Amino acid sequence: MSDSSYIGIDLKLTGVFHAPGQTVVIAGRFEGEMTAGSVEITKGAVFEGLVRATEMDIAGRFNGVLETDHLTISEQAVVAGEMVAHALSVDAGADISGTVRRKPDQTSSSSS
Amino acid sequence: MSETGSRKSVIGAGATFTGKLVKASALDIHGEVNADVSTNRLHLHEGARLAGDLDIKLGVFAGEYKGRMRASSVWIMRTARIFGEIEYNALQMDRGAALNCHILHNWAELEDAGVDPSAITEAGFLTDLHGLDPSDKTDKQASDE
Repeated sequence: MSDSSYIGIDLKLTGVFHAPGQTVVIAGRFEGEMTAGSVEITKGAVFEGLVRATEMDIAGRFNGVLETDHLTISEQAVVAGEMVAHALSVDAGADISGTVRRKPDQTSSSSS
Repeated sequence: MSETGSRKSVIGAGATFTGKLVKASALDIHGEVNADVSTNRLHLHEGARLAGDLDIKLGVFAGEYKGRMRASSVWIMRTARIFGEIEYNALQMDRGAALNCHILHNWAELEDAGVDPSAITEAGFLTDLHGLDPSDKTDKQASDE
C-alpha cells in the first residue's frame, strides 16, 4: 500500500487534494488547492493554486500562493505569487516574481 | 529529486482528491477520489474509494466504487464493493465481491473493433490484467484462493 502520491507526467488534476503528512510528487499538472506533508514540483511540472505543506521543493512552474516551513527553489524553477516560508533556499538561476514573507513561528500560528 | 519518467500516477492511502482527473495513462488509487476518470489502466486497491464516472480500458477493483463505469476489461476482486452501473466487454468477478449495480455487456463496441466477442477467453483476459500491475502480487494471490 502506497502512502505517497504521484501525479504523473501525463496527468492533469483540477480540484482539492488533501494528503496530510504525506509526500506528493507532481510531475504533471495540478490546478487547485493542496494540503500535504511534503510537496515536490518536478522539472516540467505545473502547479497553479494554493498549497500548504511542511516542506516544498520546486523545480517546475508554480503560480499561486504557498505556505510552508521549508521551501527549496531549484535553478530551473519559475515561481510567481505569494510565498510564506519559515526557511527559504533558492538556487542561482531560479526565476522568482511576487512576494516572500517569513512564516510566523509555529507557536504563534498554531490557530491557523 | 524524484525520478519522473513514465511512472504511473498514484493517489496514496490517506489522500483525498475531489475534482477532475484527465489524461492519465495508468492510475493506482489507494486513497479516496471523487472525480470522473478517463484512463487506460485503473487499479482501485483494497480500502480505497472512488466515486464518479469512469471511461477505462482495463480496470482492477478491490476497493469501493460508486458511479457509472464504461470499461473494456474489468476484474472485480473479492474485497470489491461496486454500486452503480457497469458497461463492459470482458468481466471477471471473484467469490466474495459485492455488486449492487446494473450490468450491461457492450457487444457493439467489440464488433465495431472487428473482434469476435466469443473469442475472448479467460486466459487472454487475465493476461491483459496481469500486465496491469505486475508488482501487486498480494491482490492476485488472494484472488486465486
